[in-house]
Amino acid sequence: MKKLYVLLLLSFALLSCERLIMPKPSTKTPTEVFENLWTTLDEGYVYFKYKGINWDSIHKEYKKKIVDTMEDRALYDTCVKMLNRLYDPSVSMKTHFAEYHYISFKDYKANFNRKILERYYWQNHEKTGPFIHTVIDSIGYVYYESFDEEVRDEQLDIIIEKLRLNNDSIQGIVFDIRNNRGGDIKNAYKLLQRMGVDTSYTITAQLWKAYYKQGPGHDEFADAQTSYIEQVEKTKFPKQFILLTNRGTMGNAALFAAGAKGYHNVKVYGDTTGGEVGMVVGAELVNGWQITFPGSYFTTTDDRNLEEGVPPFLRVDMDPADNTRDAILDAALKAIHDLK
Amino acid sequence: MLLLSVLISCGVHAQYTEDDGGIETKNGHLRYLGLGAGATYQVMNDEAISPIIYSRVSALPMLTHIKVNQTSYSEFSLRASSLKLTHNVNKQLQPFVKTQRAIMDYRFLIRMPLEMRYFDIRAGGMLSASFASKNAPLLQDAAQVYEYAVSLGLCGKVTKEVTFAGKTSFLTWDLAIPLLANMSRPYYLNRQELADPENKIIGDFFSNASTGSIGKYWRINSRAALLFRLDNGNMVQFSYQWDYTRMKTFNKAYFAEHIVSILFMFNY
Repeated sequence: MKKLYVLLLLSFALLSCERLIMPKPSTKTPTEVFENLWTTLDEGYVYFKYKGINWDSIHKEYKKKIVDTMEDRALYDTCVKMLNRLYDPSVSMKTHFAEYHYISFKDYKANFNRKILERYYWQNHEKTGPFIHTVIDSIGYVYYESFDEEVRDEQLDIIIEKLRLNNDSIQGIVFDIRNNRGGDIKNAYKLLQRMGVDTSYTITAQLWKAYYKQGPGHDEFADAQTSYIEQVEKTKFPKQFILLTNRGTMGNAALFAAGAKGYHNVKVYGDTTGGEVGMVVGAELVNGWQITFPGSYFTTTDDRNLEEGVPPFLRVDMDPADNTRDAILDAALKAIHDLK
Repeated sequence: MLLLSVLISCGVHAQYTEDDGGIETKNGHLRYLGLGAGATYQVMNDEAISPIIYSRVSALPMLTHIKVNQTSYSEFSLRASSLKLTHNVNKQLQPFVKTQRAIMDYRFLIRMPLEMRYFDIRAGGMLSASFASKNAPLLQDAAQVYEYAVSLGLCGKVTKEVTFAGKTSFLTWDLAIPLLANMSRPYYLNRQELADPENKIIGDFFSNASTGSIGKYWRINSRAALLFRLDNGNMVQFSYQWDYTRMKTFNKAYFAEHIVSILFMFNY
């Protein structure tokens, strides 16, 4: 009997096999993959209600097309057609043979032409870190191409100090984030700390509200998380601040525009920003395919969903036929001049 | 490091009292500081990351301290690992999860008053703390998963004295199962409120902690070892350990580790 106990104990120690007590691996049939994809989005995607999408009826419609004898390519094509029904550029799917991204066919104007800027506006420009900056008609101009490029306080000090040295002649700032597709939100905070006015008072500004999913139901969101920023003792961009945006201003760049708009001396010119604002969540399906989708959404402090974009104070479009003028920049320069 | 441990272990002499002796403290304890390394095979299934089981073989360093006498046994052990777990499902996409993990166990056991001629049976408790950081780039903004668990439970140990290569050695087997644990796993969809400048990830991490018993946190730690005594009173421990954990919040995470290790135990 003792030998039996010893044997049992030894077998427990030595024959440990966790795979017997872990969840069983999926058989990866097309039906399982389809259901996994549909359920992952059902439990995580945030815009069903906002876009009026009936995800259950879409399930019924596409489930009929799935057969367990279908090849990977046919399964992929069916899943892509289903994902297209979300009309969402943040939704993607990656396999080893193809990659899907939704492409919007809405006809938006480009409203940005770098060649025009380089040829007619950026003469005598300087580059400090990620910023291209110059002075145009006594107005400071800064272009920031991507929030992926790190912003450092020293760089902003250099730019602002240069503008302040010409304090009597500089009438305002045009800050251009057109075609900026977003990036690291920390860079947005560093810029936002330079908005507003120099003051010894501690001022807290509301930036935006974030809604995160906290459960699998379509309406299961955590309470809105309002983000604030405290004014710090750093030098600010002087005088009037006009931010230039277009439909290519997306992601955290659009979030930055939403936060900046709250400052009393900031106005936005150009076109409404693009969307793709929010936490983009990835998931792996049972067959190893990878998908992404938005897992949170943001609103302005007055509850406008940022997926609709940040509308400008003044809507201005460029004339695509005119290869010598940037109408949006001209409008901003004129506005600052007119304030004088 | 292994070679250094071998050389030191073989070279450093303990003061003999008897054949089975070594350096003892005033209270009659034998103390050993163990340094060594092991090969680990880790298996992970974390619903916050993927429905697919990830695994990998790697190496890990181990540290232990043992204090033992006729009536009590205490052991502090620490191990840490850092590896990229992966799987073979659709491996053209090169999925991986970078994992860093550290586990600390403290066992305190008392000899059981049982009439056992050949076995030394001890029982007591174990206090454990584990921390893991997992990063799965395929999850985009949900890539980072942190988890920790501090647990308290029961532990038992069976020791049999054997003769191995003409020396007195010990075969041991111990089993530990926690009964109560405080643990934390990520929020739904692994959210990190990065868009909030005031957000402190550490604050989120601890604010999401909960306490529970076997239903929430289940762990089995099973270890079989051979302690081989050297001439100088030091010992070498060869062991196989199986450590299985299941953590349950609104999703479940399973983790298992097989470790084959060698530790050089310096008697001091």
